[in-house]
Amino acid sequence: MIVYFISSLFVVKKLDNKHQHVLNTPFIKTAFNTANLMIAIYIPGILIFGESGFQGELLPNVILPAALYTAMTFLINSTLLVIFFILSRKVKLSDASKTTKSILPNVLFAMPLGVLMAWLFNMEGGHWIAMIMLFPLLLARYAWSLYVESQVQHMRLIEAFVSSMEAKDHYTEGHSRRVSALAVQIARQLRYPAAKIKQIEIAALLHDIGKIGIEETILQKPNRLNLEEQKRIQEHPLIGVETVRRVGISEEIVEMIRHHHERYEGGGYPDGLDHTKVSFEAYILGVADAFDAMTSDRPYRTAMSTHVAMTILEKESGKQFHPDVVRAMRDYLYAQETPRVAQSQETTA
Amino acid sequence: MTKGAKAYLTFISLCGAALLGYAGYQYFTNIDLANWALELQQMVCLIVLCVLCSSLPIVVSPKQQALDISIISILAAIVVKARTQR
Repeated sequence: MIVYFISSLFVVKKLDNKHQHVLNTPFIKTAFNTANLMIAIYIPGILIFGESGFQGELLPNVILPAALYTAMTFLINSTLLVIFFILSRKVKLSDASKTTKSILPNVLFAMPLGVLMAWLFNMEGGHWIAMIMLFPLLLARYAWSLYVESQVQHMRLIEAFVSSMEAKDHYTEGHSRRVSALAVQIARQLRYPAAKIKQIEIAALLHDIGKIGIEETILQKPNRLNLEEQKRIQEHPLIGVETVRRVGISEEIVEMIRHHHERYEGGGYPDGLDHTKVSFEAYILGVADAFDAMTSDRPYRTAMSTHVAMTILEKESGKQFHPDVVRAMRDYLYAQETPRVAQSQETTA
Repeated sequence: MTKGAKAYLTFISLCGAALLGYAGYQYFTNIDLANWALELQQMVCLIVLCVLCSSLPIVVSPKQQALDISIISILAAIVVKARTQR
């Protein structure tokens, strides 16, 4: 606790591009944060390690108590903080518990490094080795922050692509973002892992990027397109593929963009492939794209209702659309509708 | 800030101050003066570790969610000499 108290006087944190330290933070805030952590450090310390502390060989015996200590410290710290936010009416208990649950595994992940540091400090002269070890750790942290920054730049580039495309075609403004949000929900319904969901999100954002290469007269035509114009617009997946390949987008995403207009039974465009040769994820994009197109206004018709659009999707299930994706879409919509129905029934009662 | 929140902040801060006083008393009454140089070195190293861990959270996602790794230094400090008052 003494260590933590002294160190808290020297801590400089970067929050919202501002450096915060003890001299520019309100006293009561600093006092509460420091006291909060002291309580969170002390109580589990007494309960798990006792007054005399951990006895015997550190490794591997200390691992389990250390994990327990870490979890308890985190939970006490979070609880004391959440109580403050609830009293300030800044957060709901349910939201806070969700956040706490999601952070706990990450905190436990950092625990082995704490044990390693303790083990080093326990060796003769080990505290100097621990200090030297900090350099590669800081380097790894820096490298990681560069990677995260590159991911941010990557997403900004994609956003810029989408904005420039939407500036060209006002009728589809917001379409890519809505398709992306919907595709992510379908993927979650299908229990895809987070990394794959990210790919689907990016592919959905970029699925119509090839329309940059299509003439505005065709994109903004208020009437139905003739055969020649239809053929021209059907080139947009291939133009999109050429565009995104130049910026080094992964091949899985490129494949989704290329095939988002392929039909389940074959005969779609640009390649006319059936479901045996097209990735399942491309069909997720296909359903999300079609659903958003049907439920949005177009120059030649007004938007359909969700119910009508879903009926069309089900009618085309196994023909144009992948049946499993349509089922996931229906389940997602049902899950969205159910609370509203329950809420309106409560209101009526 | 509501009155309840202010009272709560003050209460927790006072509890922390009381604990700090107790920990300080324990530390200085049990300090090993024969090995004061080693004691001082370890203390300084632990403080440096704690400052770095608290100042440099790891950004875990492009949405700028940061993981506070101060638990590394806290665990090290708690287990090192196996005394909670450290």
